[in-house]
Amino acid sequence: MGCAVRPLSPGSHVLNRTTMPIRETFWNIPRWAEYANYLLGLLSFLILIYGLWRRTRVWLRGRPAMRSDRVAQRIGGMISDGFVQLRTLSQPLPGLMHKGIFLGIVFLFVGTVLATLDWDITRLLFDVRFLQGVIYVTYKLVLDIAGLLLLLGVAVAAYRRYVARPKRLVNALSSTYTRDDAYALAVLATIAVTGFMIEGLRLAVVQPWWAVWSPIGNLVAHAFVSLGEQTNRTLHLSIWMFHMLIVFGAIAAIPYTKFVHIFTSPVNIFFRNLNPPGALEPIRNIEEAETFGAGKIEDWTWKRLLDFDACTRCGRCQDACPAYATNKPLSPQNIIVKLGGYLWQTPLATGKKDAALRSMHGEVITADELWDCTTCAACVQACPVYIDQMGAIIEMRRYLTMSEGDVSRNLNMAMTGMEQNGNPYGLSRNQRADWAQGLGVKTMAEAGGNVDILYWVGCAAAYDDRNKRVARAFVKILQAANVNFAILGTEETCTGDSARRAGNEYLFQMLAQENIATLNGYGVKRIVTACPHCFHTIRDEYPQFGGNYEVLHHSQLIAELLAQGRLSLSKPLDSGSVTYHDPCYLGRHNNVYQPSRQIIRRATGRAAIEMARNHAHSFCCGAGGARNWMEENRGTRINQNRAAEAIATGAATLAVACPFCMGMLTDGLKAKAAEGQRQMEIKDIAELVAERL
Amino acid sequence: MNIIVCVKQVPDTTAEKRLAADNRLDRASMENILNPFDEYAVEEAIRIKEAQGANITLVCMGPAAAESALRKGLAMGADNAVLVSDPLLAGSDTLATAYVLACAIKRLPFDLILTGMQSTDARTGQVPAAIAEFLELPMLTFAAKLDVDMGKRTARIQRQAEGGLVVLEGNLPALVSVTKAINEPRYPALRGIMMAKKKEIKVWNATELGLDTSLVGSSGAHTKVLAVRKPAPRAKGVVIKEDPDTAARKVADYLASVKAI
Amino acid sequence: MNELWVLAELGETGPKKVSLELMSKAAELTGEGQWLPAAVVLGGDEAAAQRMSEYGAAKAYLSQDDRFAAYHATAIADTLSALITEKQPIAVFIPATNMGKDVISRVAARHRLGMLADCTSVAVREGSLIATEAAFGGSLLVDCICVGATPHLLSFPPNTFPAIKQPTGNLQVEKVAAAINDKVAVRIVDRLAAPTKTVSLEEASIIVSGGRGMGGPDKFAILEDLAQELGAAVGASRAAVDAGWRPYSQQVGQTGKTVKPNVYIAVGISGAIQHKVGMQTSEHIIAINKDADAPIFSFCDLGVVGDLFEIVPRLTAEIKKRKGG
Repeated sequence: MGCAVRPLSPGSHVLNRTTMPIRETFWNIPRWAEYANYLLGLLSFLILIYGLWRRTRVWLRGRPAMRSDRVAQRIGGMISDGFVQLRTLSQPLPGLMHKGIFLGIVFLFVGTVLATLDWDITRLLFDVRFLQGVIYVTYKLVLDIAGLLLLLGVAVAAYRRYVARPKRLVNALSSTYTRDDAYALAVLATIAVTGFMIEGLRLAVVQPWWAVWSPIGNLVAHAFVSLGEQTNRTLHLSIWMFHMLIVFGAIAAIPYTKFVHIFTSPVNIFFRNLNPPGALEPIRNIEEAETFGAGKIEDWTWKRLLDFDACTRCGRCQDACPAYATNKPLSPQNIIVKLGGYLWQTPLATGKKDAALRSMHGEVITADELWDCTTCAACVQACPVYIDQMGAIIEMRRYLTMSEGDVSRNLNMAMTGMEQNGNPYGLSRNQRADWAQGLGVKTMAEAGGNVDILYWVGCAAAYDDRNKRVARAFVKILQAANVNFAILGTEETCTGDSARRAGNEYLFQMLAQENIATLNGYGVKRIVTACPHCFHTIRDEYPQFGGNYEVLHHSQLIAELLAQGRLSLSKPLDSGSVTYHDPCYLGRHNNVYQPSRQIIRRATGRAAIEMARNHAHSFCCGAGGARNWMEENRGTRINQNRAAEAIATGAATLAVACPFCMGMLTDGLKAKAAEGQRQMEIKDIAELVAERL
Repeated sequence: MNIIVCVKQVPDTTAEKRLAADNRLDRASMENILNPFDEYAVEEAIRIKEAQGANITLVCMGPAAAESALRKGLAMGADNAVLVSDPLLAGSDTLATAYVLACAIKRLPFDLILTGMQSTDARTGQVPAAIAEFLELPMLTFAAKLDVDMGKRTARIQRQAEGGLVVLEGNLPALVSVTKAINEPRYPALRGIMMAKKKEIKVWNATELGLDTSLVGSSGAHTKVLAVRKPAPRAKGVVIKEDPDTAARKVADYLASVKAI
Repeated sequence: MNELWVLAELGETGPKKVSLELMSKAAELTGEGQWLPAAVVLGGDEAAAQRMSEYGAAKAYLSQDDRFAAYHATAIADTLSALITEKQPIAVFIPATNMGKDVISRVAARHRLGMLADCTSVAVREGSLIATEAAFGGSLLVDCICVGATPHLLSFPPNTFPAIKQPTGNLQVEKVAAAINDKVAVRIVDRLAAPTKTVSLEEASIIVSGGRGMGGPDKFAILEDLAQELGAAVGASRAAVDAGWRPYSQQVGQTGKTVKPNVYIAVGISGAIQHKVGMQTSEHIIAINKDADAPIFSFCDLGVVGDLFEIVPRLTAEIKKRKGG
């Protein structure tokens, strides 16, 4: 039980060891300054709330989006990524830097709250002061460490931003942002430094015996002590007032500066997309829709607008992007930052029409940037605040493709092919099962639907000569293991993956509905496919239209067969080591990494050599996002970048598990070989097994 | 300006072709599309419309199913469509087709007629010139570039010739047939497709057009099909592996055998 | 006697090769003497008429009017049409070139004559001409005859028949006047020279294409030499264009141009589907590649497994030798 201890009167600054440690709130601060402190504090919080409310109001002007499901999972994510900040910590130094600043500020803030409670609530109402004694000195120590963490974090941040200058921090889209970044560090540094100065000045005058529990403050005090009490008091008051103004100013300014992420980040993490990143939102009732995709700022949902505002410009998405890495105009960070900046210029935010307003398409975001995207989802995975850059890009593609018809000739041909012939190659439907001639493969029609699993062949394996060999290898495996399977043959039509990624939702839905009708007509329950794009589309997106099946990638099925002992492999040939390229749509999109590696180990007798960028950090081959059908005439070649990486492992063979990767990396390896680099073989994992049967 | 674009619905060239018993095309058995060459004509008409304003009418002769080809042209941006359809017209040869189209066109106002240079099925490329003849118009064919001057009432084209390009000019009204070099047809925006679904397609039959039925259909044909056969399937090729001199000789022999040298 | 006419298409130096080819065929068909083979030479001179007679013309209708140069095909169509009305030949062979197509259609429409276009062969059976047309991109062959009034009009593309010298000795030349209808005349306003003297891919009857196997931009020189000898256009696969060795305008394939030449020579091209869809309907496909497993070998007519750098120059030399001899 505490008793009220009067604040020390000026002049009495020697305290002996019998005095209970207690907080000298408002020591040396005149009444008027004390009242000013409360007034300004209140004002700054009101301004803060107002600023946040203004932002929120603009987001809420976006179209509706459903994000209130799976609340427990959302809260869990907010804790793990908003507070523990696991993604941020995936890069150690920046992660710790941010942790330092975060913990510093959080503890200092909580400390101030406790001080206010102690002085203004419990003392006034209950005559109780809890910040005394052991509690108090612990409190002091913790806060000093917090202040130190803050300073260290700021120092590391400043070092990275201004000395080390890693690429992702050097993207100056506008001087506004550079100033904002500098402001953030300057303000934090100022708060920390002045805070220690205030503490030190007080300790220099009061010299309580428990000053040792404020180690930093104590150090600072030693520097000031020689100036004498009068000077120190004056200094103390001035710096205290300065500190107060800076802090309250910074709080009020939060919504207008980088610090807004204190609020937007956890909120964005809470409302994040919980489905697989590549499972795009369908456009329902598309025949009645007036507009398609995002053509102007008003077309975005509130969640997207929040995404644009939540970006902290960390640049990790940009670092991960294969387009950016090969010198193309696209940077996922820039897309989001530009849209965020643009949002505030539009009537959605200003409430007035501006004749000079730039158009979202063409002026703010160019078509080139949008078409560069391979939808590999590396950006989505990298973002510490769970922004969906890839989804925003596709929304804008939907506008270009469906509202404007503004697509390149090659994409036009691919879409026409899917529409008229059921495959992007534009080849005859009737030839779809020709690859299987002579293999004794049943069609579903022949089997009457009585099979255990449907082998979904996909357009590439049906029409591309190199991939037909993969299909045949896989059939050999299925037959060797006596799997009861069938194919749809000419009843199969394109899953529509490329159409959807290109933004042609209408064509995609037509194809999806046709396939789902066929599959449901046969009562299909289980599907296996050798193409990760078909795998993703059927597994993650067909449920949106009533197609619910258990879908396996062929690596999963083959691994299962090997584990069950249903395949007997003859002695592995000594064909050298194998490195494995994780396909984006299997790995990052759907978290399937192990089966292919298990297959490689069983088939070759040794573990796969990992490339530098492997598993979830695999570097795209460049064909996703319908890019397989487009010309790559900006920057350098993505496939060659990856091929060089494969060659660098020293492995003899590159193993792939996707027909697009097969095509792209075959070309990539040939290009490198033509430059004089080492020749490498390239095989599908099914071929590695089939060769051993 | 009034532009008429003559279009045709053709079978998709990648699908299998089948002929009905009377050696006429069994059109029901395959995918049908807007003649790809006509897409370029429609696109060119739309570009002229975007540049100087025009009203575009598509004219097509075919069975009722040919409507889908017209819908594609409407989706790209044409304003109106006319389908001339009548059982009597089945089996019409190129002259009869041109005659029918010319009769239909005469009922519409026009300054310019655009067509694709040929169709992917028959590939004769005869219809445009025949239409021009029936309508007594100058014809500018195989255009790789088109400029229309409504002030001077002329149309000017560039077409490929030996050693370069030749520039031709004729007075309006004129007929222009276009090649694939002239532009890139747009992918119809979904909005265009939806609006096209709602547009009315006028259907005219032989009586309404006042056609002389002896000139159309199988009875009006100027050619007769005696037999149809499939060419021998691409025989499995021969793959040789010889020393370079022998290989070169064998290739030269082959080239001579196919009259390349 | 009835006459079988060949409309000569003229170039800078006289009748174009296709005119000589058609003349040879006409002369062959009239070998029995049932019809008189004649050439219609509009806008040419005596020398042009003589050239046609070297390839079988017994008679030539010649109009030396300058206006043929100023006006385009319509002048030829009008004049031919007037000649037909006057002379009533039994058939006219016309080259299936752009000019020929314009002429044949206008003349057929004017006189309501039967016409058979882009025929791949012609024969005489029981006194009638039977021609074969290729339909649906070459997937069907149709044997036809013309019915109704004569003359029957038939057009043939270049390289359908060989040009065979068969001089007739006495050439009967009949001078005719040009008939030009101003109302439908199309004026030649200008001629623009091509930036480079190349044959266009879409119109070439022979294409020599290079792919990844060429190894570099300079290596394409051997293909250019071969193309030169063959009068061919040079194409490239996507791989070669992607690598920056050749311009995109020369790319053959799904994302480039679709071509249907008489002969397609694929050098160092694997034949992946992207390329295949751009050239698979070529009449004759020759492939040269050192990889025996290359997909192209499954759909070519003549495949050569070997080193292209050894084979192509030798091939060029061999062709040169045969042409010179």
